[in-house]
Amino acid sequence: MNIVRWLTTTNHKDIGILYILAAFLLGAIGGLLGMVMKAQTTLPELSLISASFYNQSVSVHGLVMVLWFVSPLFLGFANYMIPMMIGCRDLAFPRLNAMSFWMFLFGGLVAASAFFFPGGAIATGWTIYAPLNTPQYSAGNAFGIVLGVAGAAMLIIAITLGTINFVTTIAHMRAPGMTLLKMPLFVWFFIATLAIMLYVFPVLGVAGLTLLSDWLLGTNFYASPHGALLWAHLFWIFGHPEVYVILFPGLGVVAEVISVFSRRPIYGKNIIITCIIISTIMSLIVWGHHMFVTGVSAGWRIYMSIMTELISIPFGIIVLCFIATLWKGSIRFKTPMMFILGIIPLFLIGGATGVFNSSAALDYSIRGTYWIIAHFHYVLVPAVAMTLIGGIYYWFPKMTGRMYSEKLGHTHFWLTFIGMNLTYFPWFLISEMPRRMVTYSATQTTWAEMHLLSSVGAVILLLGQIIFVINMISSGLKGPRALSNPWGGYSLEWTVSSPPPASTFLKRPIITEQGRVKYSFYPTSWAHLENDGGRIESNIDETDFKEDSD
Amino acid sequence: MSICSICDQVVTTSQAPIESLFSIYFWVALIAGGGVFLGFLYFVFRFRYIPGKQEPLDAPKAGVIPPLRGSSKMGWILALGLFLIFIPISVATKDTVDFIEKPPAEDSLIINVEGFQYAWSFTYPNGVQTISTLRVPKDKVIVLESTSRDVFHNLWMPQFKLMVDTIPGQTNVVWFKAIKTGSYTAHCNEICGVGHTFMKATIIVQEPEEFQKWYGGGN
Repeated sequence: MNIVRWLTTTNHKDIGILYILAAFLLGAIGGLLGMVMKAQTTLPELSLISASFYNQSVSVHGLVMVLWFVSPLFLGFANYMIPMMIGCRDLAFPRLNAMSFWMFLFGGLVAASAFFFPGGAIATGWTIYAPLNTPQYSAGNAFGIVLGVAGAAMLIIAITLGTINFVTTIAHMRAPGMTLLKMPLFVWFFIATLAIMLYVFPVLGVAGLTLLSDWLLGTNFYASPHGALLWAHLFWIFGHPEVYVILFPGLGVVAEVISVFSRRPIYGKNIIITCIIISTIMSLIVWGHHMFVTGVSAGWRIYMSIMTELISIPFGIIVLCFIATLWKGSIRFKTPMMFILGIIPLFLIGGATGVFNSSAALDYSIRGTYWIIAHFHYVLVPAVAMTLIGGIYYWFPKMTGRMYSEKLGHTHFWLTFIGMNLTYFPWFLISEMPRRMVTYSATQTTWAEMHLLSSVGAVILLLGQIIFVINMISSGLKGPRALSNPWGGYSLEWTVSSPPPASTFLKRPIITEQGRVKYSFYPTSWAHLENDGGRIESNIDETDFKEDSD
Repeated sequence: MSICSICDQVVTTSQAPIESLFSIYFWVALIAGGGVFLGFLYFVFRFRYIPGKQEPLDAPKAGVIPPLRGSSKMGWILALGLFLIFIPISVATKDTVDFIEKPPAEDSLIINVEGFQYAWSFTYPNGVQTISTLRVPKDKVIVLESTSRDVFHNLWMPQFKLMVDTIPGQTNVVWFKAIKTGSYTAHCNEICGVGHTFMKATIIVQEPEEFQKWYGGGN
């Protein structure tokens, strides 16, 4: 383990781990900013931090969580797992992959560095609405906006290079016999993410570069009469599909984990794939629901309303298929499965409240309020953050070769589940409060009660994450050795040792028409796999699940 | 405190359809989501692992891509079922949008609203201008023609369940008709700078005679 190796690596597994570590580093920054905001709003009329710092916190928290926490987390899994899942040695362009990672990391650091410049970090909200984002109205926040947008531009380059890399890999480097339909759903969900990213990140790039040119070249795109709506359209053409960009990998983890731990194949794989394709296309044409009260025409609003309602249908079907997977299963309540089962009711709440927001009429009474932030935290925290954390537990034995502590894992889950609900549910009940208010009057007693409750929840949530970090570090160093396939998984990463060798496959795997994996090098591939501890064709060893005996 | 505070007393006529629309959505979500949730709980309990329980025959194992499970017919059934849920709420939304869209054809008071960092200015037809206080008569249609002097703001009147984006360079129109006198607080609902939190206005709904006394019959 030396530093030069990690700085110069082009191996997809090393880069995957770097992505995951960077994601948690940046996610911790985003989380701490969230805690700062929670502390400030715990009681009415507090002034722990200035309004200016609150605005910076609210903006950087949003940008970091969406762009620099969730994206690298799923890119980490994708880097590590996808080449193994489709049976190839590495990504198509390993050095390009390393470049993507470092561009992404420096982009994040550039954006965050603005905290140390006069005027502080970007303070316009994560939506960076025009014309507040222009030199005319934010001269004091120049470093924040320019560095924030420059960081985002580096992220866009990183993402675009990464997408090309993954598309090439999945299109051209699948193992012989690994047909599209045989690929695990995790790969399918990731393909949808790639497709959306290829479409929407250039739009964000255009918005960001024109904004930078307003600042650096003296153009006037966004302080001009139609600048506000121009920015809103560009931002949401990117911003709404971005929700699906970060949602799909989470659902991919759900698909893998729910099947493996209920010991049944995923229900309706072809139905889910159809839904993925339909919702990918639809996700690009629903952005208008963010702009219902901007004065756009009524016909356009009705269209966007109906499209937004319709896009719930494929997601509803996907969730129902996940639940149907449990039918006649034998559910093992290991930590990854706890997280994945735990998110289903939360995602139901997040999804159902999303249907409210799709209504152009109801938007007159909920847009931009605490109802909205309650809704999207109920989508993003469970369906994105908690699923990916479930994924961390699921693949931890594979990545480190060691088992995590199941007891700490369950504690982490329950603290997260309870803390998460306590933090975000009260926000639904103060739907009249505008978001991004640094403080509120003491006469608003309901607001005060709800914020106090929410802050208690945030502390519980934080405790859970501390336990998570302790579990990861102590188990990563001293946990018991993991077998190559501790969960009885089917995808190809479970056919190799834990942790896998730098070059995953000795020989390229071949998948027969019946779906059996063979190595051309070993005519008797089953024996080979069994010697590896893969426990092929046998039931799971009961001792692996002895903690379930309660 | 009620479900999302939407069941407050009705104080404007345009608020009533939004309240009832909300309850349609709420009950549809509660019944559909609650049903799925109960089914999910039953599945988790019913199919949990018990020591000694046999592995399902098609349990995933390393080196075997699992066979497909489920029929595409089920996909169509689920799609149709979900689609049917969305018909009534889409129709209800369309009706409500149509209602909110057009101010009723009655005698109305048109007030120009201008947001600026960090206050609201209201200009009446007779030229009277107020800052941060909007006085309106009860039982009269009030049309707010709203714009902004500088950045993107949003005039949010929580008790009326009504908001409008105020955007520089364009005028957005929204209307309401108050049916209860009283004093209400409006907030800016779009981050607009350091003073965003404190960009408020007081809406005072008065009896028509009282309002006329203040207004002076200038029109």
